Amino acid sequence: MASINYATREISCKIVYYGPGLSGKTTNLQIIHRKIPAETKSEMVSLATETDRTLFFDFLPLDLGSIKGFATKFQLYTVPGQVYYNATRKLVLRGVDGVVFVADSQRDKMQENLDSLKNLQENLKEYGIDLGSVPFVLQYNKRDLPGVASVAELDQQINWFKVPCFEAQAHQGIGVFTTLKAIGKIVIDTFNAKYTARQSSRRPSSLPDSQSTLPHPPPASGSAASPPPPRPVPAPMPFAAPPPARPAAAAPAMPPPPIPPSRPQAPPPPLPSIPSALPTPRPSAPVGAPQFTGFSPPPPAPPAATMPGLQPGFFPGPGAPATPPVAQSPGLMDPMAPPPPAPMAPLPGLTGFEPPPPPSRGSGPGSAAAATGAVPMGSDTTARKKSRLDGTLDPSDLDAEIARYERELSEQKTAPPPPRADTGRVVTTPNVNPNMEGNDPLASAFLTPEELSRLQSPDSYPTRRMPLGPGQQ
Amino acid sequence: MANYILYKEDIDRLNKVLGHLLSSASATFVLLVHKDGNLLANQGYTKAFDTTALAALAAGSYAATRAIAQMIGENEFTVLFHKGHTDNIHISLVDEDCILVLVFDDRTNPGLVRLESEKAIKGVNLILEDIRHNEFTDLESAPPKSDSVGQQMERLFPGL
Repeated sequence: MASINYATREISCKIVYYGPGLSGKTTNLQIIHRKIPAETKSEMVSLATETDRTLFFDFLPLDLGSIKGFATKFQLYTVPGQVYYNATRKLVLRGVDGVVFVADSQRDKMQENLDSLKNLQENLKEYGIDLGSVPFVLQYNKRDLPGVASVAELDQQINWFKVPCFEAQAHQGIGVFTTLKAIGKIVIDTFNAKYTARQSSRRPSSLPDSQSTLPHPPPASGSAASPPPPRPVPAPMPFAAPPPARPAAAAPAMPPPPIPPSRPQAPPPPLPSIPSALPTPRPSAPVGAPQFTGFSPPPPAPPAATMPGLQPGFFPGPGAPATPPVAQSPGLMDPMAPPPPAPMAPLPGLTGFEPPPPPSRGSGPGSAAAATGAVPMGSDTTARKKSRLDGTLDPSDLDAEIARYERELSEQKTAPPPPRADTGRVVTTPNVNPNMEGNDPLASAFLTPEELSRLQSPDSYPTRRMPLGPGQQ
Repeated sequence: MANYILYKEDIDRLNKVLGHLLSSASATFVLLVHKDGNLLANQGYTKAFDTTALAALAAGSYAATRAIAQMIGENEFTVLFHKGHTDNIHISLVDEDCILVLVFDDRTNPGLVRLESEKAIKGVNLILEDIRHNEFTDLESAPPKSDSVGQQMERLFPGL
């Protein structure tokens, strides 16, 4: 899993060195660690046995520095090579972005190479990753030893996917950095391919310019959960005019209630001319209604005559006479949705802003929309997610959540302690067992001899459990 | 597996929740760690610690414990607690992808840390749910190309 952090302009990728035992995986990392310049050197973490065999993994963060404004970091891991450490190998492979297979070039190690490669393929398959699709290079290590297999032979045996392969003598540092550079480039290329594929899938070139700038084109109904793009294919950027750049570094401190400016947000769409579509316009808040101060209205939208598309984050600006201002929170109103059956009452809970309950994961019906009193748009789940994506509910969610925590905490502190139901259960509660002898509380746990003998008689259970009928007595 | 794309407002929101947790639980620092070992956000006094390695090790520890849990019939353990002489680590499961790591000393107690962690996890879950839907935005924020990475590696390891 590569992570890209636009806040710190940082990209982080995970590269795992895999291979049979004693093939030189840890040596690769040790050489890299030794050669890292001191100013960027980090500690290398090795979870090893007393004999310096890798027990869990080795970990070396490699900071490449800033590249085009992005701090690019590789996290290099090794796995234990021994066959019986497969469980830990599998754990380390989680979220891998690139794999270096360090093969032992000695002829008698060929079978171990093959077994390890098969094991790599199986372990990746458990994470849903195909070895042929993940960034992958081979390193033929120990080329300085006598009796090693030729490169052609190794290629034929273990280079199943015809990936780049490199000869190496890891303990001397030969071939180590060539391998690292190769896998680094392939990982970044794959990352860019995903980026390009996402860009092209999100902005189809057939859209007119007015729509191609929308970060989130409105999905077709029922296709809210579209599958990710299958295999990243590098493609030219389909649109000529790039959308407004995200001011990541220069963004000011986040003001709490307004919508965060730098999230990919649909620009206010042209104002639709839909007064006739709404038979009863939504009434504005009555005079004297409590004012909702949690949100400030977004900047006004430029009026336009046409209506290319409606966004869930639509909010009319002050220059829109057709739609009267509504007092509730923006962001969840869909102008195309049928009007509510009754005029919308003043929203409950606006006084003092009763924070909405935290919506449960898995999208309960209308959790966020119901809490804000807004009209749900089609599927509740879709509306909630899209509104969060638009940033309209995010600050309030968090503020409400934190306010709720604090309120609960203060209530717990101020409220009198509830009477404990179990206070003195053992010592002070009078024992109800009439057979108890003395004050021994444990005596109630045992049966008296009379009770025991009555239970042991064969006909005791029917008479104890059910009354006999008149004819049976 | 989906990439994680974190924007400034995501980090701000995470930091807000984590900061609240930090003060309410009186912890030393708190990390939000992906189970792959990536550090997503942190709050508190972290300058004296290598948080990158700490995140990787915490993820490894959690993964190992999860494997143990599965051996005894559990899917995973939701809370891990490592007690030291003065400093302790409390690791709790956030969702299927992330864990929350709290480091605290004897100025607070594990019960409070656990209580506050459970509260904060709800807020973190909300944010992570949004982060999963993040997309790349525009060309200007595109990640660097492989040529640049190769050049940077040449500068980092000249002649190797």
